[in-house]
Amino acid sequence: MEWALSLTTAHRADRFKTSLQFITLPYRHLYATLDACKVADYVVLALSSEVEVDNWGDSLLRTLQAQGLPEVVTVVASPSPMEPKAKPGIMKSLLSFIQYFVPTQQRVFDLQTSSDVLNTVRAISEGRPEISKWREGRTQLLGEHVEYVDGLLAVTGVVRGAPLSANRLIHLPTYGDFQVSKVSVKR
Amino acid sequence: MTLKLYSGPLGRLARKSGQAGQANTAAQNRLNRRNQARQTQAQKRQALVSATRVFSGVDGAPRIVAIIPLTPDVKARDVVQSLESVLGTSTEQPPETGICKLRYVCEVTFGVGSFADDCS
Repeated sequence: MEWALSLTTAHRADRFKTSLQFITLPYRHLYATLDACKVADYVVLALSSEVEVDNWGDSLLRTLQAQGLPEVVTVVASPSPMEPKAKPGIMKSLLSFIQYFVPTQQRVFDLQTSSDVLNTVRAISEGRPEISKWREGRTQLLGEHVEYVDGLLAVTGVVRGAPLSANRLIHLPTYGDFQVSKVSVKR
Repeated sequence: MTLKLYSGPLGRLARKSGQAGQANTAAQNRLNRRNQARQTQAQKRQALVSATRVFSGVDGAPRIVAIIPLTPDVKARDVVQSLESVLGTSTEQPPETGICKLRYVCEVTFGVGSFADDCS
């Protein structure tokens, strides 16, 4: 939980009419990634056009596949733009690679192309994300703000899934199960 | 015998079928089919709206997006910055690893760059 910082930026406008909350994950942090995917509505898999996915990445994808992924959007985030001649081949191979793990993927978005970036944002802002069945009845909460208040750990966030019951135990990943002392609404 | 047929939102309803049954079943069936199709369409739209209601609005729940780099040269922070750039948000630096929130997001320009060029 130490790596969860919280930054909010306020921006009003009109088109997608939704708020987004990004969880940025470091490379090669298995448990952080697994925990993030448990609570996420969308998962953006960022591939590279220059470096192939290694065994660790492969294992990660298999683990995520086993755990159950929500709506997946695949992007290519390369440091420099792809050669126009090589691009279709690269995109095709990346798509077939990711389709092995997530068969429902139809295309890979290139973050160097502005229209593709827009399409990515649209993919994560519109419609209803498909969530794993096992999440349906469970209460989840992403801790946006975590602090100690009067000797108790106070976690602030948006409750998702099922309603939060104060009479049931709460599981904090890697820390265990805890009793709830108080549930309050933060305005 | 007169036959009253109502079409539109109430759907089709034959009040008195009388002797003209044979000729009317074709019309009946067509109207039934159309009404059915209209209802299915409305239900589908309604289902989508109700499913996305959680996320919509100023105080709606934010959509949680996990950015996962699969290779060492990809940084999640850069991905977030590319996505935010389209939205025209002037944000603080997203953290290298952590959570960052875009409240009530929208797209500001259509073709990126074209509006700005025209307006200048």
